[in-house]
Amino acid sequence: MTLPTSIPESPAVEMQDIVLRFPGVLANDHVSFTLNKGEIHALLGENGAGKSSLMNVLTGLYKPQSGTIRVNGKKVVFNSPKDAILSGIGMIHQHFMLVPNQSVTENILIGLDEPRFTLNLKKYDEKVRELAAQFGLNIDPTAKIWQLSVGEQQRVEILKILYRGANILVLDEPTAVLAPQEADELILTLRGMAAQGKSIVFISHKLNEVRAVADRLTILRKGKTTAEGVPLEGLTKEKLASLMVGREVLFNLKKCDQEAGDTVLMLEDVSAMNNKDLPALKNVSLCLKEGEILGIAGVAGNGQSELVEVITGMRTCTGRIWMGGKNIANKTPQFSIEQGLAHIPEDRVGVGTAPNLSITKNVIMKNFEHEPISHRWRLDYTAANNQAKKLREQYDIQSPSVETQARKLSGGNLQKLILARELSSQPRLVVAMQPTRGLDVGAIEGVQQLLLNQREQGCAILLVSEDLDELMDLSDRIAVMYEGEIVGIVNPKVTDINTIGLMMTGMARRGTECDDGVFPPEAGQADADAGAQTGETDEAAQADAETATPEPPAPPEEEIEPAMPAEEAEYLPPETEKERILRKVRGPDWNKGGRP
Amino acid sequence: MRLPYSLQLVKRTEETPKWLPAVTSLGAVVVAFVFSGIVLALMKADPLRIYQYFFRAAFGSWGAFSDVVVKATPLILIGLGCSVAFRMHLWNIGAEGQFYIGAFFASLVVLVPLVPLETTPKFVILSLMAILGLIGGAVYGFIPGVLKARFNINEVITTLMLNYIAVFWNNYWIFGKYSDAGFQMTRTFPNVAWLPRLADLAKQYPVFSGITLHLGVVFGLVAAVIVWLIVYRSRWGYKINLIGDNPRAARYAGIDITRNIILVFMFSGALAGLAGMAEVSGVVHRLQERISTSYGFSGVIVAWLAKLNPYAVIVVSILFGALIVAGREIQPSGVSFMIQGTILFLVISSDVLLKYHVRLVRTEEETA
Repeated sequence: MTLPTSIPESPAVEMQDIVLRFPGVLANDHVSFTLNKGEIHALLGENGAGKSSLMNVLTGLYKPQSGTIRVNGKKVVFNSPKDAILSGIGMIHQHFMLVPNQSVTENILIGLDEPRFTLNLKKYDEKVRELAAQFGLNIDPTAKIWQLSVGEQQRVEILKILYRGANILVLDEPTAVLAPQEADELILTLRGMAAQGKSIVFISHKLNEVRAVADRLTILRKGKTTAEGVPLEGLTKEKLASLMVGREVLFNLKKCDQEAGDTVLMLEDVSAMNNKDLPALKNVSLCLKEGEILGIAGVAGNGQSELVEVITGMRTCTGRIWMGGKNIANKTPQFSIEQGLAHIPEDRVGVGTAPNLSITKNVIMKNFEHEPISHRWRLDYTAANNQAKKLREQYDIQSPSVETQARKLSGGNLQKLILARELSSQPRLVVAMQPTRGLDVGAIEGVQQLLLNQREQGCAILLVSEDLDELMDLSDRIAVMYEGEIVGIVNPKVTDINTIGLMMTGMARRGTECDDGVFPPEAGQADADAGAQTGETDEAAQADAETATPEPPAPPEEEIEPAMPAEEAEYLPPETEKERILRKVRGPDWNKGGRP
Repeated sequence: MRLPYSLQLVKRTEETPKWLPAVTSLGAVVVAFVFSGIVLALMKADPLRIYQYFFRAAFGSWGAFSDVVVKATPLILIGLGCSVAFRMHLWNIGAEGQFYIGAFFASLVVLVPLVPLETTPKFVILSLMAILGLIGGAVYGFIPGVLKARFNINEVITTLMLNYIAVFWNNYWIFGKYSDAGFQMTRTFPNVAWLPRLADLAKQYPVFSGITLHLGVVFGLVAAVIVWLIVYRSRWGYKINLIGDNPRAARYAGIDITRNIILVFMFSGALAGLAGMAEVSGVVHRLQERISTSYGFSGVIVAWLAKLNPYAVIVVSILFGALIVAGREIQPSGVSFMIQGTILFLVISSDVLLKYHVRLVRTEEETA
C-alpha cells in the first residue's frame, strides 16, 4: 500500500467485499462499491436488495461481518453513525427528522457541541445563509420548519449534513416526496454540489431520474451487485430494469381502449377541513364512470388525502357525494363499503392492515360480517382460512402460511394482500391512493396490471398518485389538485407532463367541467366528444401557461434548439445546465408541447 | 475490559411457536420463586420450609384449597373482564369500582327489598341479584366508556378516580340508610340471598362440612368459556382484536369503534359487577366496607399474567388466591407480596423471549 494521501485521485469511498448477515438473511454478499470524488453515483435495486443495508454500513449504523471501508484512501472502522459523520459521511433519510416548531438554523444546530450554552442565533443564521448560498440551496434560516414545503424541508436536511462538514452525501430516495419541478431543482442542486467536489450517493427506484442525475451506477439484487460502477451512457431503461429485477420488465402495460359507461361516482361542491381545521378541499366537483381510471395528480398535501377520506366516509365534508344514487357524504365507512366501494389506502401498515393479526384475519376485514365467514354471532375461521388460501394463491402473496402475521410480509406482498381483499369484493368503485409507492419495479408492474384489469371489468377507479408517469400510463383523465382545488382535468393522451407539472404548482389552470350534468345519468355520454373538447382546451391552456409563467421550469424559447456537447455544458451559465438536465429527464422532445 | 462472551438478542424471524408463551411464563414463575427464595435465605430463613408451609397452607387440605378457590373467584371474573378490555387496548383500571357498584346493586334486592323475600323462591332472588350485579358493573363501565369513546378522555384516569367514588357511594349507604345499628355495614342477608355453598350439603355428605366454596366459582368458569368463545370464535371478538391491533384499520374496515369501546367497557364492568355480587352473596352475606381486598387491582395483574387468555386467567387466579391465603399464615406478610411482585415483573419481562432469540456469542476481536 502506498500512502493514500499522495494519490490525488483516490476515490472518496471504497467499500470492498462487504458481507452483512442478519439471521436467516444475507443482506450484502461480498458487495463492493466505489464512489469517486465529485461524482453522483446512483444505487439501484428492488426493495430488500440490500441498498439500505449497504448504506447503513457506510453511515456506521451496521457493522459488517467482513469487508473493508476506505474513505479518501484511508481505512476506517465505524462503530457508530457519529464516527461516519466525523469521516465526512452524512445520510439524508427519506423521512425527515426535523422539529416542526423550531427554525431552520435551530434544526441544523441540534445535537452539535457548539454553541455550548448561550445561543446567538443571529450569528448562526448568517452562517447557515452563507452555506446555503454556496450550494444554491434557497432557504430562509429563520423560517420555522412547519412553514416550509416538503422540498424546502429536504434542503434543510441537506444543509444539516453539509453544516457538519460532510463531503460524502447519501440520499435515500430523495425525490419520492417532490413534485417534478422540485425534483428537477434538487437534481440541479446536486449537480452543482458535485461540481464543487462533493460526492453523492443517490438511492432511487425511478429509472428516468437516475439516468438524468447520475454519472455512474451500481445495481444490487438479492444482496449481490449485478452492475458495479457502470457509466450510464448507453444503458436503456429496459436494460436497467432487467438488471434490477433479474428478468424482463414490460413497460408497456396492456391497456385497452374502451368506452366509459355510466357514472359511478359524482362529487358536487365538496369542501372539507384537514386535521388542523384548515380548509383542505375547496368546492371540488368530479365525476367518474364505469371502466374509467381518473387520475388525481398533485404534490402531496394539496388535498388528495382529504378527498379520498371524504369519499370513503372517513372525514366529514360539505356538499354531496353521489354513488349508486345515494349520497354517501358524511356517512360511515361501512355505508360506502356497502355501496361497493373498495379502498386501497395510502398507509398500508397504519390503515390498510392490522400488522399483528394473521393474513387470514386481514383478508376478511371487509367481508367478515357476511356468509360464509359469519353465521349469526359466530365467525367461521375454517371458511376464513379457505378464503385466505384461495386469495393467497390467486394474487401470489408470498408467505409461509395464511397464519403469518401481516407485519412479516414485504411491502409488495402486503400491497398484494390489500389488493386481494379489496378487488375480490367485486367493487363498483376502487379508490386507490399511492398504490405503487415504495414498491419495486416488478411489484409495480403487477399492481398496475391488476388495476387495469379491474378497469376492463367495468370498475371505476380513482387513482391518486404522486408518480406522474404512472398517472400518464394508467389514467383516462387526470384531475390536477392544487391547494385543495381541482385546477384542471386533462386528457393524458394530448397533454404533456410539463403542463401537468405547472398545474400542480398552481401556475396554470384548466377547465374542470364535469361533462355530466345530472345524476344518476341514464347513459354515459359519448366519450370521444369529451376527449376532443379536452384536446382543444389543452392547447389554449398551454399557451396560457407559457405566457403567464415566465419562471422555471419553462425554459426561455431561444435556447432550446441545439443540444450542447457534454464537455461544454460545465462552463455554461446555470440556465442551460438546467435545460440540459431537463432534456435528460424528459427525453429529447421534452418541450415540444410548449411550442405554439 | 471486555468479556470473552456476550449475550446477544436476535430478533426472531420465524413464527413464535405456540407452546412457547406457556413455557416462558411458567419458567418466569419458577424463577420468581427461586429469586424470592434467595431473598428469604439472605434474611436467614429457610426458603424451602417456608415454601412447604406456603404450599400446605394453600393446598394442604380440601378446606384450605376451597379457601383458595373462594379467593380466586372474584379474581377470575375481574381478570376475564380486564382481559377483554385490554385486548382492545382499553386500560380499565376501574374493576375495583365496578366490583363495589355490582355488589351494591345486587344488595338492593335484599335491602330495598325489590321482591318480597319471604315468598320469592331462592332461585329467583339469586338470579335477580346476579343480573343486578351485572347491570351495576356495566353501568359503572359505561361511564368511562362513553367518556373515552365520545370525548377521548383518558380511561386510566377516569376509571381510577371512579374507584374512589364507588367506595364512598357504598359507604354512604352502609353508614346511613342501610346501616345495621350504626355500624358501617348492613344487616346480614337472609339465607335466601346466599349463594349455595358446599357446606350446605354437609348433612348428606359429611365430607363437605366447613367447606366454604360457593356457587360463584361456577360463574367464573362459565364466564371463562363465554369469554373464550367471544374472543376466539365470534364476530364481536374479531372486531375487538382488530380494533385492539389497529384502530385505524378497524375504522377503515367499517367497524364502529365508538360503539365497541362502550360495549367492551360495559362487558368488562359487568363481569367485575358479577364478582361483587358473588362476594356479597357468597362470602360476606352483607354489604359492608372493604368487601374487596383490592381484587380489582389484582385482577388487572391476573389478566396480564394470563396473557389475556381466558383459561390461563383461571390458573393464574388460583395461584394468586393461594398467595393471598398463604400470605395470611406467614410473618412477615410482605413475603407473599414480594412473590407476587416478582412473578409479575418476570412474566412481563419474559415477553422478550417471545420476540428474540438469546445467543451467546464470542466477542469479536478488533482487527486493526
